[in-house]
Amino acid sequence: MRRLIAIAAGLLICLLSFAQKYSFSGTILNRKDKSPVDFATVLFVECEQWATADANGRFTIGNIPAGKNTLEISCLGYVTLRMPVTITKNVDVFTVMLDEDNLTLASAVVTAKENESSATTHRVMDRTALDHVQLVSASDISGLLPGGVTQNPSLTSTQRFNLRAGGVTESGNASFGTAVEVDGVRLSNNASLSGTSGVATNNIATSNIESVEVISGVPSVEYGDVGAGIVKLNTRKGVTPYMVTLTTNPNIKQASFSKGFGLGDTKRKASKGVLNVNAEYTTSYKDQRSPYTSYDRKQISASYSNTFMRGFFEGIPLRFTAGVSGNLGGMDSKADPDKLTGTYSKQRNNSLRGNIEASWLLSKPWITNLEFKGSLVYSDNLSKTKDQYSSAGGTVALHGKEEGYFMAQDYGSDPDAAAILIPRGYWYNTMCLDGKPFSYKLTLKGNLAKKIGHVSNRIMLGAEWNADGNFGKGEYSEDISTAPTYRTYDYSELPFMNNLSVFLQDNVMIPTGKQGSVNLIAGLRSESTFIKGSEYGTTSSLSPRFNAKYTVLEGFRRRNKTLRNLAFRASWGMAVKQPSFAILYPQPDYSSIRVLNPPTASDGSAYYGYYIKPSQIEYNPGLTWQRNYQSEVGVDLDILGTKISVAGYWNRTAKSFRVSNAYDSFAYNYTDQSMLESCGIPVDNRTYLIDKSTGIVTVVDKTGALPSETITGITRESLIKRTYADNDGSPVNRYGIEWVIDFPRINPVNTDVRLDGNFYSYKSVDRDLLAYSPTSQQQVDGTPYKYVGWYTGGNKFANGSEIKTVNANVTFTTHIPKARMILSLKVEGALMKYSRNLSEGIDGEIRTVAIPDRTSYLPSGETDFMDNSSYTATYPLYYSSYWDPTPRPFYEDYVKAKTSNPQLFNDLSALVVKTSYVYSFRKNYISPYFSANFSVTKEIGELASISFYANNFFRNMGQVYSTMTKQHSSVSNYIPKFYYGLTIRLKF
Amino acid sequence: MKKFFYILMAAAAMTLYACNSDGDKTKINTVTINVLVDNEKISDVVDVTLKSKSTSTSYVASTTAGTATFNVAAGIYEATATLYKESAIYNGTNSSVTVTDDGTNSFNLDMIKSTTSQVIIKELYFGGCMDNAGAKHFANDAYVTLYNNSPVEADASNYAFGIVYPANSNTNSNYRKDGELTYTDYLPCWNAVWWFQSGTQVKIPAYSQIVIAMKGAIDNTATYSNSVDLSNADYAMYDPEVFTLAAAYPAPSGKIPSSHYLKTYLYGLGTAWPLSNISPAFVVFSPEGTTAEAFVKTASNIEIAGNGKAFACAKVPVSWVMDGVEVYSATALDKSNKRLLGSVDAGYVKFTNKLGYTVYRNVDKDATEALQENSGKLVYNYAGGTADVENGSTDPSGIDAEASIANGAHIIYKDTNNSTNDFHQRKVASIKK
Repeated sequence: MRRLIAIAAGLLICLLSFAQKYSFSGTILNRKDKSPVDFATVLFVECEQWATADANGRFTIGNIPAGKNTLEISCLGYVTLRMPVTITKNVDVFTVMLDEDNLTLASAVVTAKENESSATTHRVMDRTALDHVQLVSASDISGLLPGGVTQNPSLTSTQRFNLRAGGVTESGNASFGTAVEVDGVRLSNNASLSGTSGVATNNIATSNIESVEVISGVPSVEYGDVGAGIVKLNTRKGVTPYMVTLTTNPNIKQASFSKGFGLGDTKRKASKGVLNVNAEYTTSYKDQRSPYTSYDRKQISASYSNTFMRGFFEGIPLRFTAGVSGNLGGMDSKADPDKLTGTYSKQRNNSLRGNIEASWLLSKPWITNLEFKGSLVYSDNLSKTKDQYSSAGGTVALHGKEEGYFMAQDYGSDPDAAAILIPRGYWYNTMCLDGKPFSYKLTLKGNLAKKIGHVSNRIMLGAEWNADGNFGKGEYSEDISTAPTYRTYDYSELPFMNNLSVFLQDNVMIPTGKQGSVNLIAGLRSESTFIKGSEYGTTSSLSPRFNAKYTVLEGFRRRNKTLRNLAFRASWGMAVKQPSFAILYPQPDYSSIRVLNPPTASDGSAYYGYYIKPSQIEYNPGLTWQRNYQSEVGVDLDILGTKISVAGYWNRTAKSFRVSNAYDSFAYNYTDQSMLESCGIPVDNRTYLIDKSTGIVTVVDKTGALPSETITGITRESLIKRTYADNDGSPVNRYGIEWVIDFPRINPVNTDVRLDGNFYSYKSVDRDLLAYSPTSQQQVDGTPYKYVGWYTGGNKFANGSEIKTVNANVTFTTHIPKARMILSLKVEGALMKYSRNLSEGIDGEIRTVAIPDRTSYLPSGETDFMDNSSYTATYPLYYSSYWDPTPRPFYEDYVKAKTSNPQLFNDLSALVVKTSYVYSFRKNYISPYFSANFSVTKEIGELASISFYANNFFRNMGQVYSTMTKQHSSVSNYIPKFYYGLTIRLKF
Repeated sequence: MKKFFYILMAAAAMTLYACNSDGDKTKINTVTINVLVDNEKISDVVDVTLKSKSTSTSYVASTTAGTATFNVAAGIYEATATLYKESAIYNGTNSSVTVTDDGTNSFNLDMIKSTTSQVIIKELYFGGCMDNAGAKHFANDAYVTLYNNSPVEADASNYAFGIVYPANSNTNSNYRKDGELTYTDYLPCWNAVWWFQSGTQVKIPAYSQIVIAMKGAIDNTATYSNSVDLSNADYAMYDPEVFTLAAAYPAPSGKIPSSHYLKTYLYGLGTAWPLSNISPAFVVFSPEGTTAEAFVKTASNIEIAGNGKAFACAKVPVSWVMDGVEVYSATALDKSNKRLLGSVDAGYVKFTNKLGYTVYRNVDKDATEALQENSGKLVYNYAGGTADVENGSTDPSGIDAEASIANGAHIIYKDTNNSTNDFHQRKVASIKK
């Protein structure tokens, strides 16, 4: 850390040189009516000097170094203007005309745009594109990315982002590593105890999202706690008319209202700022035929933004933004008449997000901008399920967490009993799972933009503190007397996970000749995680990241040349993902064994004895944080107006989080039914006692007529599973190519053609030695199973897989500015869809063999089980036992046992994993398939616009062929079913 | 009256004529019937019936050293014999026993092991019922009734019970290829099989039954009035260290001794035996040369019907199968496929679950009525079937078996190895009083 600070200080000193500075003043007007555009943001990109236009559209920016600069002017509702400006003197009158952003403009696009100024893959989707796809869930934008596949909208299933990765079956927790931010507020799923998956986007209102940025490449070091990919959702900020949006499709209804209020000026003519409010109601039905099980989203958000430029802030403006957003809603099946009366299942998905942000243009020689960001997110994910229960006999619910033998007790006789006996009959109970994740983040960041000669240098130094905790109670029941088995696990008692990060980045822009430049970005992020009160203590990591972009040719002067733009870019970086609570604090396992099952009495009374053995949370001192190594190269060029962007990437996820199993030997006392036969006390007169520590049973005569009898029982030897946080020692490799080709507009028909697509490759083979034992199974001798298999990559027939896909889309967009209408036809094609199961051992170990038939356990002699169609058997590399925990080579002993010890052979056979399909390891190519989606958006003057889409509107219901199964199946498993939706937007 | 008088006179005259012919007696011949099994004289004592084809007069003689001896007049006879041995039925019929006054009169009677069984599945209750409010389905009650369809005691000690994969008639299975079953000489018994405890003698008297609770061996009617009281079951499938799901396996009623608990071995996965409550293919088998326990605990007898242990099946030789019943889901008849081989069950019985219905065997009307001891005891006009509901069925014999049994009758159930003919869907479980 000290070294970092020293480097930063050195760089600052180097840059503390003085150069000639100029001021730049101007007016921003609406091109249409020449009215001033207030609240427009004016930015000189390289020197990071900025200002906000006043009510007259006027602005002044000082401290601009001489030379080339890029002027960027943006304002809500207008097309962002970006232009090169060469500053040689003070500029007092500079008039800028901004175009209103609507479909009268020829430049309107409904696809993702490449951020051409970025040195890594960074795409932006603006409101026009979002309106055109009728965004309901934020993750719906995935279809707009190169090779993106359109999904029909739904909020009743969990929606997540998953950039440059395949489905949930892939290793590496890809969605968990995809960061999602709303107005800079990081939505964290770290405090979840339900797994290592990414944050759900269902409860993010989409009606006020102005733009979505997707950073698929190597991000800046200011972004931490990330794997691969960042999605930034930016809401509307600025003055807007009243806007009402109504959306309908077969399963979803949405209504929203928003308005950006200009709050006027103070007496001193200072702006009071802008207040944006948005209210949205969305309901999504699981099944349109039974619109009762639904997901609701009721969200209100408000944000205030202002730039203080007067008085103390004269010349050193401070831009301030504060926002708050509250959501009520979630899944609810309460009203479903198909369910049993009185039963329901509800899951809250409430959230409260708040943020403040201040950017202060200090313009000092040692600092240009100082930024502060603070945000918090609190979620209430309480789920309640009220069920009706019934039982023909007495049933037992286990709640005890203490080790020992317990007889099930009536709740009335002992409400705190470890095992509660619920009498036969009918009852209702409401089970709750209370998760209340909370996270906050504070960021302080200083920028220094300096120009040394022609070289622009921007240094960023920042520090960030973020923390995750959970205030939920975990699982509980509203009435423990009738609750089913559960153990309390209070999430609120788990320590917060705190993380301190310091980051430093230098962004250098070096002009090369008249038309080119080199942009070099180097950054380093240091992260330290503190978990107070936990054995994990402090964990530190360093994440270096580099981006380089060489712009060979670009500029206005090349607009008539053949090659109008050419740029190459390359990136490499590392990112560290903090763990989730499901990894840090996995719920303890409880082994609950019924050790006494005496006969049911004639009045229905049942008695059960249990042995409870808890296995506590296992601390893994070797646990490290999951990391992602990302590399990317790309080229962007413009040939005769055809814009081509190609990026190749390679991502490697190492040490991904997972939960592994270990097995311990233990013994318990078991009382068989036959042992009770000798008891002379009539069944109906019996009660039973069990010794808490020995498990010895005493039968007592309730009538007192006969003396008590003691039943000793027998000793059972068994294994118990415990889980612990672990890292996957085998890396996950992904690489691919993404391309976007935008052809020049075909003017006679006002049509743009875009080809986009991706090639994606995934491979992961788990080579860790993982233990598994079928502990619920019996051995041949009728006692609990006592062997543990140690498998390379676990006890699945395959310990890895490879995937390769090629998706290609062609989009025809016809835009008729005069008609204010835009139509698009997107044909999505899966040209290649390949997958294959893999089974690979360590250092030539034979993990899987071909077997001659489905009843065999030993090899057929066929060496190639992958390509030849054969049944297979997969063996553990080692095995251990109840008696001897030292792993022994499995195969040798297994073969020997076949003749010398049939009982051992039959018992060990339970550890052999067999396939029963001869094609399990065959290459699986799915034949190409296609789907066509149609969308249209039409503006009706300034007042309204209407959008309609039809997915799979050719109603492709064909079949695809699998080379693995050699069978055809319906293409509906791969493409969205025919679906349509309509949105009307009103402005007034 | 006159007419009656003339008939009486004629009859008297014929009688006098016969009496007058006493001096010209019919020759009585010694006839030997050699009872053969696999061309060898049978060692067991068998009753052989020799029935005159002209007079229908029957004679019965027991074998001695495999031969039964009769003294009859010349004529054409039919020799028949039935042997119940080791739970199998051997039948022999020789319809060409032609006795002559001058011949050797020695005949063979070949005994063929019958594909029908002495012990049959009389009833399978598995579909569950609705709870008292009619809101939820309760299916943790199931039983099978084994019935001795013969006049001699049967020994079922070595019997075992299995369910053939897949669980439901309309479930896809890779045991089917091109519309045909891929197995011909075995049945893939899924997940686990049950057997009677070693040392427990399971005897079923003639024309009697045993009830085996397969789930819920308690009085289920206390909570679910539509269910059945299995607290009085004769046996119970209960092995709580193997199948731990207490809802399906509550501790059995104290009236069932622990020696009457059946044992099992799980070679598949799960906490309960996955007996379908919709459309099982259920079999009873009797292992030869081994025990069910030893058979399923030998890994090489188990095959995996899909990827993973959840699909593990024991390959039970079809020759071991004593009886089976194939049930098709009434709501998925068009998608249902056979799981039992034709030699076990050539048909199927349609079934609707959740309503308390049961699969019940039809009565072999001719055979039952032929039993002399049933005279006056059979109850007709059976109304327990479900012919009045969609995809329902009833017993075409019209005999109310349960009422007849209560009346003291001996019922012989139909056993043609074809469930379509042999079973019907009964409205209420027979043990439900």
